[in-house]
Amino acid sequence: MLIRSLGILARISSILARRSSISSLVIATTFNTALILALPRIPIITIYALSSSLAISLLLISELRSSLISFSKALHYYGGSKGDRLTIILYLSAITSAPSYSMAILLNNPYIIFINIIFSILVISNITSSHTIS
Amino acid sequence: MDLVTLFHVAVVISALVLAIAILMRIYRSGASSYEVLKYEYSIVEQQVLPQLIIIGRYIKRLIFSWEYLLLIIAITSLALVASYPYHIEPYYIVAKAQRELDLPSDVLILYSSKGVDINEKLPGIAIKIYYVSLGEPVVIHASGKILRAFSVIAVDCRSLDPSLSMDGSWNDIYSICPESNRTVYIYPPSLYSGDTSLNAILYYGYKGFNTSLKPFPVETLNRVNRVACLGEILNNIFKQIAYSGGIAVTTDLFDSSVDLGSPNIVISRGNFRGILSNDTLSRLGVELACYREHLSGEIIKYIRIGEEGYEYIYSLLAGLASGSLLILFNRSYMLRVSPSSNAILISGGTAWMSNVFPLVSLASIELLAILIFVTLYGVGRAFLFQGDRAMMSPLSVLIISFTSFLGSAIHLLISRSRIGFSSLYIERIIPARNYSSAVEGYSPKDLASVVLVSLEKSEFFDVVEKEIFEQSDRINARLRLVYRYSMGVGADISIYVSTHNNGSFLDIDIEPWSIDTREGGVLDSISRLILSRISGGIIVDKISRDSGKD
Repeated sequence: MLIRSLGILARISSILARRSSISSLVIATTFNTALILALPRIPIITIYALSSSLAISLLLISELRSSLISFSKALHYYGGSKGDRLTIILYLSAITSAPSYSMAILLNNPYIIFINIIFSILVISNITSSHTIS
Repeated sequence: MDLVTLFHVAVVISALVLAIAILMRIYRSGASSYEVLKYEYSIVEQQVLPQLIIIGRYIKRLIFSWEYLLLIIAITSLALVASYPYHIEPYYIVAKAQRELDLPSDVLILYSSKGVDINEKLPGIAIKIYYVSLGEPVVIHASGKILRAFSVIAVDCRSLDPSLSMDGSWNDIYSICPESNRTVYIYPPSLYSGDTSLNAILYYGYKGFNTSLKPFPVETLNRVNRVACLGEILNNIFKQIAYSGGIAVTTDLFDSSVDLGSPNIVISRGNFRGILSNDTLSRLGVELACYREHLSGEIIKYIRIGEEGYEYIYSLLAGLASGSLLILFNRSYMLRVSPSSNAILISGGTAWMSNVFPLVSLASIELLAILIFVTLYGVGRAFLFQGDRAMMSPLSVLIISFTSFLGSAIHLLISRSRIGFSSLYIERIIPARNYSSAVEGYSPKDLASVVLVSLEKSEFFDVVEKEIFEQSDRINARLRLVYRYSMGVGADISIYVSTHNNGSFLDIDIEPWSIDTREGGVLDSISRLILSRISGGIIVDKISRDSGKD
């Protein structure tokens, strides 16, 4: 079970790396974090941090949409279980929510992470479930 | 005439020649190809409209997507951050330095690039120095030579109290004062001929001043350099003046002509200790204050630290952050707009349209996002957060917009060259002048008959000549066709039909001709029309035969 999950994570990671999604995620996270770091702590900065981290995460998921659909279909054909799907959802949500981690730490506001992860899980599960042939 | 005037005349003449050449070109092109242009216009209009409709549909689809909504929300919050009122009071750091350079203990030097506010109470002002970049150059006429100066250092020593002693290092400070009220020091001294009594007329606007002209004395610069702070400040100004052909004058010459504003350097003498607080220095707008401490002899520098420099860092980072968001948006949508590229090709668009239009659709909605950003910044400044300075100035907002869109545009162009949109559908050259085919179930005579009938009944062509040579198992035919819908266009066709297994082998050569062109698209189109007519005729005949059998 563990080896199977690791294999799935490795496949997902290779998709992220092959489409250079990781590099675009890192670049966008770096620039936005640097901006949050440089700007003074005005009240409205939290709104920007939340909206920008959500935008980065969800745009990245949107970019991976076609790959995710193919992957979830393939997983279904080869007997993937609900646990496998859950693994994909959690792993991808954790990765795509990366921008929120640094911003939450800088602004001392953990809600940014929670909101970001919840949205990521919702969107990814929606993509993987609606295109799975049952 | 001097070199500068000659240069101006040359530039004006070149511009005139260029303008006349452009006008002549426009006139000639309009006169000679009127009919052709009219014809081309109708074709272009026919072809571009469907593609624009396709792009319009894609733009609409992009705008109403949730990804775009997210982008707009992020950009809206960035606009609110940029317009949020924020102001850091400048503060001063104190730097102590034991310097070999001299500074009298009763002197205070104040410097501000924007001008020291001398309306505030300042004790014992001795010298005021102004650095002014002029709107129009000062012209100096002297001994048949002309010099233009674009910036001026004006030195005002009229407040000097002659009763005070000028011993020691005070002499070095006072050496900056011109010898008389109408002395002009030029820098660099290219005009100076060595004559110490060279008189010049100095013009600014329509005013003329008689002056005594001298090169800027190097020894004066050396003496001023020895004075702590003052030497460094003046050296920097002299470097700028060297590039812009500046002069150093007394204020008398320019008092009535130029608004000198506030002095950039103020040297005061007396009891100044009371004003050395952050608040007072801030009110005066001072960026650097220098004095020598009584007891330790150290030179104390108050150096102003403001927030001005940070604003550009904010705007650069904001530009990069929003640019990275736009690039993510491009990446997520690049594959989704590629069907528009194929749709453009299928609807009759050219290859460049199919490559460029999807990029245009993405770029235009990103421009719309940037427009929303700028508008919301304006709304924020005008209605939501009135009053104090904004976090980012309008110039910074423009920098952000430009940087982010530039980044996105570069990414789009690189992606386009790397991926390409529709390599499958790029048109290829199809051979159109000959056709060979084996047709099962037809004797040569039957097949030749089908071919000839299909050409004779064609709605596009008239058969004007026909020769047929028939043998037992082969047929040779030659036809001359004329295209009905255009004058002077037609084709000569050679048809050879022979037996082949259970059927016949058909070989056709087409030689299209035109009175207008020898080669190109029209002739190819004629050939393709004929070939499609022949092959279509054979297929229809085969279908009707098969139906008859059933």
